[in-house]
Order: sequence, then C-alpha cells, then structure tokens
Amino acid sequence: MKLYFWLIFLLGIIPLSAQNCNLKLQGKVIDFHNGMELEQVEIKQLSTNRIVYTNEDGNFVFDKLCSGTHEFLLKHHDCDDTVMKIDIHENKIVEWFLEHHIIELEQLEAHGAVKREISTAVEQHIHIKEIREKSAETLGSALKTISGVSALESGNSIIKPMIHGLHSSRLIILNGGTRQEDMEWGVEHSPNIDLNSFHDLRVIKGSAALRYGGDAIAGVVLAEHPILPRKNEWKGETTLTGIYNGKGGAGNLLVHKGFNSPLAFQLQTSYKKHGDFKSPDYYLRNSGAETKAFFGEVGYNTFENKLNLSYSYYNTDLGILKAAHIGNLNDLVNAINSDIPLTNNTFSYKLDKPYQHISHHLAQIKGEKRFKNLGKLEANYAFQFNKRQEFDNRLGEVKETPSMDTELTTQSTEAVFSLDKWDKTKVYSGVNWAYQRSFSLPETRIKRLIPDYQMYKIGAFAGIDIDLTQEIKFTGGLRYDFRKLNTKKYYYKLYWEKKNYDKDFQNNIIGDFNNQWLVQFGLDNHAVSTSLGLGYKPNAYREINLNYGLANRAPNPAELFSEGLHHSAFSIELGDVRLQQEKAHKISLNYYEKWNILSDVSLNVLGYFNYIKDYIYQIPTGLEYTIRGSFPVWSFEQINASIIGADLDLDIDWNKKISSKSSFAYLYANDLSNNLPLINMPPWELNQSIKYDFQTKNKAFVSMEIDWVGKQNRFPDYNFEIDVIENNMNIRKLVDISSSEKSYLLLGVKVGISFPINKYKANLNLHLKNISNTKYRNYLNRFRYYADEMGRQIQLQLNIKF
Amino acid sequence: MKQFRILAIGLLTTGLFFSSCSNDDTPEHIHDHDTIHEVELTVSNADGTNPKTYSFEHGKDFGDKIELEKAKTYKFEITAFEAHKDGGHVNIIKHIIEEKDEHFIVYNTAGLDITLTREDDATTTRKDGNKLGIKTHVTGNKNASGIFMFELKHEPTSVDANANNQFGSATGGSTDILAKFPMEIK
Repeated sequence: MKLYFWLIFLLGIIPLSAQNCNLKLQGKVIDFHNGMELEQVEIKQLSTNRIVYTNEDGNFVFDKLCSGTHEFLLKHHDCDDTVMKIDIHENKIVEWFLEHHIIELEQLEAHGAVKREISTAVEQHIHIKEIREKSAETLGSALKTISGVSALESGNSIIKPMIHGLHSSRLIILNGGTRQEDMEWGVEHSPNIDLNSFHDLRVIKGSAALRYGGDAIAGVVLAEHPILPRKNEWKGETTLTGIYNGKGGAGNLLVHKGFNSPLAFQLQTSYKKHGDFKSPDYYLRNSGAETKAFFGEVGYNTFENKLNLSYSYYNTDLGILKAAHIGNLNDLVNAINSDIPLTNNTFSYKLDKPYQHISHHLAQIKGEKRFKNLGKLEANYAFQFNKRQEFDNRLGEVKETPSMDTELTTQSTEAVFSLDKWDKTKVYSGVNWAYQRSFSLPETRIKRLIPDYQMYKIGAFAGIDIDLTQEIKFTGGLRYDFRKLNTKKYYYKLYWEKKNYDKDFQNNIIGDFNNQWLVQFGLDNHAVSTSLGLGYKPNAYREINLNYGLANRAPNPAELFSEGLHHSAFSIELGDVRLQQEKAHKISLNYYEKWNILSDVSLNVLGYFNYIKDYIYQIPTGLEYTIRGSFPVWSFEQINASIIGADLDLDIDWNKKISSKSSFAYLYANDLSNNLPLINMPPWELNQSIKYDFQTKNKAFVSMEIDWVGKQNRFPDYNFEIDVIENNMNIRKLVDISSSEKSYLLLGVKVGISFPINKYKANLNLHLKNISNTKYRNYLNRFRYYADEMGRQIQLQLNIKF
Repeated sequence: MKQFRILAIGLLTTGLFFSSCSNDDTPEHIHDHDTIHEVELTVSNADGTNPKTYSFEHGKDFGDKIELEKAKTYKFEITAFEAHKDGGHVNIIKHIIEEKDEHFIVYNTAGLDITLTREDDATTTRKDGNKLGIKTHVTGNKNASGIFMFELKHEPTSVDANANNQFGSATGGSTDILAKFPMEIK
C-alpha cells in the first residue's frame, strides 16, 4: 500500500499552507478491484472521532487538520474496516483503495449468489447449513440433493456423484481449488473428501469452467473451505450428530482465528463411525464405515497479496456389503432369487473383509497478487497422495495382505491471470501442469488391476466475459490439453492375442515372462476444448442463458488397461488401449424467472442436449470360465451417445411462514451406435419439501420431504443364460442383470430449533428419513441385486457456534 | 514480487519433478500368489491302490474325464489346489484345511446315479461336526455318463454335510472353486 501512497503523494497537487491546524485533506475512495468510486464510506478520524462520508463520486473532504500524523478508520458496508495512516504537513489529495470482495463473498454466500465462475453458466449450491445437516454423510450424498445430480452407488457408503448421467473421470472435483486426484476411474471408488471441511459446494453442470480442465463432460464441483477471518478473536463451531440406523454418529469441530491483521488460520477435524445399516427387514452386514479427517490452513491476505498454505487429510475404512461378495454367476443367480441376503444378517460395528482402507493427503500453497487497475495473478502448487488398499478374502500367508494396494501421487501447479480492470470485459488466461504417478505394491502378490504409470498433463486456457449491453452477456473460452501417459504392463499372452494386439503393437513388447508379455506404451493425447455462452438478464427477475461446450476426455487407465478379474466389481474387466478420446458437445438453455406473487416465487429450468462421440462405457460382452465358475466379461467399448434432459427447480415462499421447494430431473439417453437405451442412467426423480417457519425468536421450524424416484423403463437388455447343475440335472438359468428397480417414494420430516447456551448460539435438529420404513432398491446401486436399501433413519444433531 | 518468486520456484520445482520422474522403472513381475489355477482329484481303489489323478484347470469348462466301473467303490480325494508362487506352483490345500471352519465342499451331479459318502477324518472335519468333504467314497450305481461336480464354498452361513445323501448343502458364502468333470460309469 505504501507505494501507492507515495505515488499519489508525488502526483498530488500540493497547495501550501502556513497554518498548523488549518490543513485540508481531500480524497477519493476507490474499489481496488475495479477502480469504481465507493459511495457512503464512513471516514472517522480516530483522534477526534470526527466523521465524514464519501459522496456519490467517492469524494470526501476533511478540513481543519493539524500538522502531524493522522489515523482514519474507513468503514463501508461491503468492505473490511481499514485504518489509513497519513502524515499531513500541507493540504493533501489522496486516493484510498478499499477491497470489498472478501466480505462481499461472505455476505453474498449466505444468500446463494456468489460470483459465478462463468457468468453465463448457472451454478447450484449446497450451502453451509445443508453441509452441516449432512455432517454424518458423504460428499456424494450431499450433492444428490441438487436437481440433475444423482449418484452411482456401491452400497450405502460408496457414493460417486453423477451429473446428468455422467460420472467418474467426467466429473472434476475441486478440493479447495485443487483438482482432486483419487483414482476416480474405479466404479466403486468414491471421492476421498470430507464434506465437513467445506463451507460451500458449487456445482457447474457442464464443461464451461475450462480453467479446471477440458474433460469435465459431466461438470465441475467446486468444494470451498471457509474464508479466513480478519477479526482478532477465536471463533468456531462444533457439530455433533447421532444416527439411529447404523448406531453411529459424527463429530465436527472448526476453529478459526484472525489477528486484525492479514494473518489468520483455521483448523477443522471430524470423525464419524457407524456400524451395519439396517434395511426394513434385516441388517446389511458389513456396511459399516469409519472416517477421520483434518483440515488446516494458514493465510496472509492483504488487498494486493494473498498467500495461503493448507493441508487436508482424509482417512476412511469402508465395508463392502457381505452379501455382494459372491464367487461366481451361480452365486449371483442365487442372490437375485433370494429375497434376503444369504449372509449372517446381524448387527456389528466390526468391518470384515471385503473392505476398503483409503487415505488421501493434499497439501497446497496458493498465492495471489492484485495489480491496481489491472487484475490479478493467481498461482498454486499442490501435492496429493492417495493410497487405496482393498482387502478381500484370501488364503494362507496372504490372508491379511490387501489384494489391491495402490499409491497415486500427483503434483500440480497452476498460474492464472485475470484482467478485470474494465467494467464490461473480463479476460483470463492461464496454464496448468500436472505430473502423476501410480504405483501398485507388488507385495499384494496379485496381478495389478491397472499397471503402474506416469502421466504428464499440460493445459493452457483463455476466456473472456463481456457485457455486450446492460442485459446481454457473452462468455467464451478456449483450452488446449496435452496428456502423455507412459506405462509398462504385463499382459497375458492369451488376452494379448484375443485383442489382436499382436497385429498392432508387437513392437511394444519389451519382455517375455512365460505366459505374459511385458509391454511398453507411451500414449499421447491432444485436445482442444471450447465453451461459448450467451446470457440475457433484463432485470433481477429474469435470466436466460444459452451455453455450448465442447469437452474432450482422454481414456483413463482403467478404460485403457483393465485386464482380468476385478473381484470387488464382480466381473472380468477388459480395457482397450486403442480407445480414443471422448468428444462431447453439449448445448444447454437455462431459464430463470422470479415473480413478486405470494411472498416470492422463483423458477429455474435447465434443458440440455449432450452428444458424445466415442463415449466410453462398460458393457457385458460374454462369459468366461474361471476356476471359481463363470464370470461375466465387461468390456470397455466406444459408441456415440446422446443425452437429452431437463432439470427444474421451483421455490415458493407462500407467505412469511410457509415455503416449499420442488426439484425434478429427467433424462433420455441413447446408445446411438446400437440404437439402444444407455446403460446405468438415472430414472426421473422428484424432490419436494415444504417448510413451516414458526417465526419465533428461537427459529423453530418443521418441514416435510418427499423423494419420489421413478422406475427406469429405458435400459438395454444384457441378460444371459448360464448352465447350473442342480438335482442331478444340468439346467439353463437366466441371469437378469439388466432389469431396473421399481419406483419408490420416501417421506421425511425435519424439525429444528435455535437457542442460546450461555453466550453461544445452538441449533438442534431432528431429521427422520424414510419414515414409513419403505423397502426399495435403487437402479443406480451396484449392489441392488443383493439387498434392499437402508430403512428408516433418525438423525439428531446439535450445532454450537462459539 | 514475492508471488512471482513463489510462482517461479513452483514452476522450477515442477520442472525438476518432471525430469526426475521420467525414468520409469520396470514394474516387478508379480506371480499371482493365491489364485488357484488347477484342482486335482485323485481317484483310487477303496484301499488306496491304483491312484489316478484328474485335473481341472482355470479357463476350461470341464476337467479330465473320469471313468468308473459300475458298483465298485472308489476313494476320491481332492489332493491339490495349485496356485502360483514365485514362478513355481504351490499346493494350498493345507490352507483350506487350516481354515476348515470357513470352508465347505458341496457335491453335485448331472445325469448320474452315484452314492457318495464323506470319509473325512478329524483333520478335515469342521468344529461344528460337518465333514469338509475332501475325502469321499463314490460308487456308481447305474451305467450312465454325465457330470460330476464339486464346489468349494467360502464362509457359508450354514452347512449340512448329511444333506442330499451326504452330497452336502450350503447356504450363502462365495464360491472359491467350481470344478466339473465329465464322468462315465460302465
């Protein structure tokens, strides 16, 4: 800041004054960010408590000042309080700059209108209040509350978020600004992220946010930590949650402290544990989980410079439903034909095999420099280490050895320059680098599920955001990505020949190991992604946005290199090194309208069409005999696909006390190459809630929720028959792996109240889910063949802010 | 300026990582340790003489064909579960026997008329008294050809060695082995 004072000082017009106490200070208060004059800034001379205000041009005058050093306190409703110190020995003209964005963010966040990533791309949020309510759940289950967001599940704890029917490597999760790298290629690998460490989850449906990658065909989830405080005080909150189903609970503690200076820090930790969940009729044996997490950040943030260091740690043990651990297709047929799981269905906290033990570390350093009247430069470096161990039933010496033990190390850096000096045009540009190494420990004594690899990624992007008129906005972005993947993999010769690799890749063989080849691959991918958006916002009550995005996704290691029995997924998985990049063209139209009828009515409708060329999916392509019996073979193949859908949100404040929220999502997805419906697509879903606010001082409320999920009538038929020996006969039996599940309706009730405990504010909530204990199965749960979903859940939660 | 320096250092460090990690080492060759790829069934006269070994291998629908004389009792013994271990083979049947309380063998046939009795001794009998089924006596009652099959079940919730005339039954659990042998009785 001093530099600016001196500059201004030198440039200032300096009328001389002989009088000691008749000096005049004239000045202007300006928004540092965009150079706009700030009106109604309170300027208080600290020695005399004299106050003046800036006029509409941001100007102010202080007269009758004595010669010497003066301190002024600047207050503005959108800004942090700032003290300016100045030596005055003659009349002076100054320009003072105020940063109003930090507070603006905090304030706006509460109302759900944070500045968007891309101004024409509508974002949906999970705010802190909902995050706290879901403290005992996972990121995936929290995101599911947004229309158009569903999840691919493996039981009740492994929940992979899905946007408009797309998931895994098509969905980017930004963990505090860094792209989460946690082996998202696996269908039973859920995000290794603690929901509790975030203040806000922002969902951008579609690939418009090119800054984060050109491969977000599904969309981007921005998970953001709380902003560091300024005030010199300890603040924090704690949340304690108890759950009846699973007989478990969660605890979360957040503390942060500022020092009335740029320095501040925050610490957060959470722990949760539950035993086996219960379906209406039986316990879901081995569905327990335990999670420990920590997040810490220290920052030094001034107007122009920001430097933040943070570290987060996530550690979880996830049980895999015992009933889903089957040996072969005969077992699957028996499981499908049995109403209840053929396991010992009693309650336990103990995790048996199979289970997953995962840890994730993320350390990052973020810097930002603002340039007066120009823009800002952001840079960051992040280090991530993800370790995944999967324990299965094994024999003998390796009984306690995991059958998968893979470590993924990722280092990434990013530099972005945003030019925001102009009022109507914003330009940004940047580069990302990433280096990733995947290593599987040979001590597992099992053939690696995916080979060890090194991956290099470089991306460069630029974007523009223009206000064409007061009502019309245009956004555009362009991104180039290069990815290099080096690997050495052992292939079974049988498989090598079966895939005809001997014709195309014979020169890649570098070693002969009995029945296996050692093969080397260096795969390069180049991609250009674009996004275009047009927004029309005639007033605060109406907004229409049209977006187009071209996204490219290079195949992930599982799609390229899977080979063999994936026991936890109950399939023989075959990847294909010939797979090309997926290219998705998505057009979406968003319409928002708000009416001044009743108390407040708002409607948001999003319609979209996504055409994906060379869409990679996994389908059953046959049976293979193993020593365990027959297994389905799931191959990764490429087709052209289309997804058309709509999301609808209607919020009504009927009066001051009664409000309701409704959301609806439907999509229609096709495998265009085979003229079939696309596999594993969400059915229609309608969520309704109605809330009665007693308008009392203790903020008491009661709300009722209805979640209604339809039957997916559009699914491809991949059923097949197997030979089963029974009663001295060889019989053919149908294995129905395709049929979808029945429609279901779940009811919930929530009541809450606020009250003070000493000087602290406390909230107590009681949440009942699936009140009627409805028995149902979910088409998007991979374990739907084996067991019902969870039954009634009762959650009691206490949140205290201090 | 500080930020520029940090950025520069960050980029340089990344550059270092990029170059230092570009030597990708050859991954260690792993021999699947506990994946059973072959099952052996030894068939001998009731007194143990004249043993013959029949094999069922991974990747095949059926094992070797077993030929029996009608009305003659044979001793059947599952003698090997072959797994790879560091290049060689290892018979892990001892592990199955060590963990006998978690395992059970169920027999089945298609198109055959045989009598099967479980002949396990204490070493291959579970704590719950059910005979594991590693050792059996088999007698062909009628001339026929069909399929002789056994399954090794892991962690079944309940087992009964005497069910189905000692062919045995098991509920739940996962199938570790499903071995099918063509059989001819004449």
